Amino acid sequence: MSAAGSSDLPGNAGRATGIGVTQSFVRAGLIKPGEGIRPTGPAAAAVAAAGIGALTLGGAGLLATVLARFDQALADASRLFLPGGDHLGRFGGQQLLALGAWLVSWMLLHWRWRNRQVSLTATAVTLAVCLVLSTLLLWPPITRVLIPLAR
Amino acid sequence: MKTNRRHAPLALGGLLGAGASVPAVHPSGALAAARLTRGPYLQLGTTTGVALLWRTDTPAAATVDYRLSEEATAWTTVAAAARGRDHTVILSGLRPGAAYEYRVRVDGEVAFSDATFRTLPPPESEALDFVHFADNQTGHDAHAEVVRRILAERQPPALLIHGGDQCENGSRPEQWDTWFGIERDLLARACVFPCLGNHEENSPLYFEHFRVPSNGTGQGQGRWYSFDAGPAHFVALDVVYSEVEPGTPQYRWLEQDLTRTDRPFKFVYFHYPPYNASPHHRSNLRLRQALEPLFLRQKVSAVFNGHGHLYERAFGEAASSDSPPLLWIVSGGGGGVPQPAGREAFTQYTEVAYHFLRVAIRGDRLLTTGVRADGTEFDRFEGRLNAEGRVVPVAPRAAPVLVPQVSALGLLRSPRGGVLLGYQALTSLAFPLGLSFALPGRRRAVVPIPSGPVHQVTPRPDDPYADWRGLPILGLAGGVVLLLLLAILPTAPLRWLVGFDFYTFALTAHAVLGTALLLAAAAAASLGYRLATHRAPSLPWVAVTVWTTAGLAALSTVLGNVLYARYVKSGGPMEELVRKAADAHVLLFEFKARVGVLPLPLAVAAAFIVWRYREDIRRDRYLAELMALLLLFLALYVLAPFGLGAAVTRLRGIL
Repeated sequence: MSAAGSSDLPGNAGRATGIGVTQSFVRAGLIKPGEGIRPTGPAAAAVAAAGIGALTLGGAGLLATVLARFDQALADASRLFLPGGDHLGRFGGQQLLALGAWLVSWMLLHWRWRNRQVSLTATAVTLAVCLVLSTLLLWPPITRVLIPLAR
Repeated sequence: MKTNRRHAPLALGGLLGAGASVPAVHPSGALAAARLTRGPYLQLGTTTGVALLWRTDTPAAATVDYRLSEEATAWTTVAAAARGRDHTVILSGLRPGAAYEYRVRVDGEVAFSDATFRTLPPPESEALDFVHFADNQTGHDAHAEVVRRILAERQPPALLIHGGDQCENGSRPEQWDTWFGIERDLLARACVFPCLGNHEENSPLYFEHFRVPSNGTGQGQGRWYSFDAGPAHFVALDVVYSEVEPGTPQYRWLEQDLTRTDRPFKFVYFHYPPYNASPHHRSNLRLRQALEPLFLRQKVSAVFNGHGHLYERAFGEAASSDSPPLLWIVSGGGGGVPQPAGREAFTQYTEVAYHFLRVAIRGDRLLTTGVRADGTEFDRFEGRLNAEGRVVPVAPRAAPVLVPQVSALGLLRSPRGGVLLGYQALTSLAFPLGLSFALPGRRRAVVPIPSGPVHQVTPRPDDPYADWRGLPILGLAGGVVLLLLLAILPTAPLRWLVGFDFYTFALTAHAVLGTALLLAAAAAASLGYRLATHRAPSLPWVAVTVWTTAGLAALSTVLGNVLYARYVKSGGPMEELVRKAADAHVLLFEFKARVGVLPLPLAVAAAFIVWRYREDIRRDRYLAELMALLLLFLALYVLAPFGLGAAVTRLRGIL
């Protein structure tokens, strides 16, 4: 048996949310009582936070390129990253910021979305955009183009 | 100082008769007198003479009037040799250490006046003040501030030494015009003795602009040279475009020059710093190895460098127990974009600031002071000549290190910490909060996939091993072994077979972990595809694969940081790589290191979803597709740094 299509859904389940959806599936016999599609919010939060962490890394690299003060702050913060982190220079600070952004935004989004059905398509798009942007910002030929902004 | 820009009519016949180009025309229609477009600036300063150089917008005749400032005697006039745009007038027979007032005439009109310079002090003088600065480059405002501050010195410097990188692109004339424009008032009263930096680009313009003493060898003229001022002997080296290792012409000349001099203080300056803890450039070990033994042997008092856009005072590490360490100062805060400071065992003090270095000699004492562009002072160092002629720090060596250490709280309270905090708040709070409102709060469609036996993968009828689950496990294990061998044997970790230390252990472990991570991520991506096509295997398969990937990503990231710290450390491989293939450093290490941390959050997010949703990832189409995308990105972001890392092993040929 293949996955149930939207035509198999009872009533207006496609537009329903939360408990209503699950109960409608139980009533239709598609899932057993006790089973249910959990809210997608926590999954979306985990994925979106990973994207935000990645974007923070790329953005920090860009800012350090054009803002000397930020560059020095990253090097200073590097000491707080890992034992001996001051040897990492700017990179340690970049990771520290990305780590902070990833974990804090995960907690925040999880708290906001823990009982909600969040569009996973939109979440996937968010992740893709964040990763592509981050990669571009970390790619040296692009950051080199931006260096004149710092002059 | 005043610059006279009054335009005066000229006889047309005279100009044409001199074969000049078309003269400038005054707005009134009359022919205008030539105007100064550069200078005058002092060069080739000695105890008894100096050269004055300047440029006019049109060819003109030029003269200099000068007289002793104190006596205000009658003016003595010296004329330039010929008409032209670039003028050089040499004043000779002057009194040592005396102040002279001068004015420049162009075609008879005073074009520059009220300037005073001082000849260099004689050998018997016990006092000398001079300034070292470097790396002005594109920071014109900061450069101008530094110049204004030098001009405001209570004790005007007898001379200026420049550590290189005057402008960003030494091949572009307009950048030199800017540099001379900013420096005009300073160079009109103190002679500058420059050395070549990497941004001079070995341009002919540099050699056109600066007249420096001859080194008497017929080689490296204008590049390496020496001169005396009062009790000090100065040596400028070219470490950027000329070889300086033992046996090279420059090294032989340097050794002889330092041997010959009888001045008690010996200063050497050049561009690249052999001691520099900044993570931006680090120490140049090649120069350290080549020059430090000679400097110690020849009792050099101090070495001044640029290149690093910051201040750092260091004690050399090569001194023996019975001789004091050599003093090295990086003073490159002349205007270029500041670079982050670092700290290593040799660092005595470091600070990121626009500044210049004030150096004073008083008898047997040497005093160096950093002066910020706002006039405040920092890092006052005092040394004294001992009986052997070496400079010994007045403070004991065991004195507390003066490097300002920024605590977490201190960092957050500082202005740059504020920028950091602002960015962190934006990315950690504002951005996710905005996202939480922006993303749709409900799914447009929910298509559950019921659990049960209907979702077992149907075996292919022509697959005789379909029911035997051992085959894929055996294949996977064989693949792992093969790839591990491929990763280890032909690449850098081969060193563990012939030598074993922590570094090679970490390198080997990183390669093995990277390979295992690549395999795990590839397996996870494959499972993601099967999830999305509703042919997912059992949940334990998915869970073990994804969790293993997350664990390996975490270990690989930590180990990657350990290796990166070793790589960028002074004396580490980065230095050699930057020297020989700077692009390889940027692409293969900087980019790889940063992209290499991205698999960790992706893998942890996937592991969380598996833990949290369990069978739902097989039931819910959207969740399964999200997992598939997540695991695909994970595999790509593991593959990219793995490939770059593999390319690194091919660099052995150039290292």
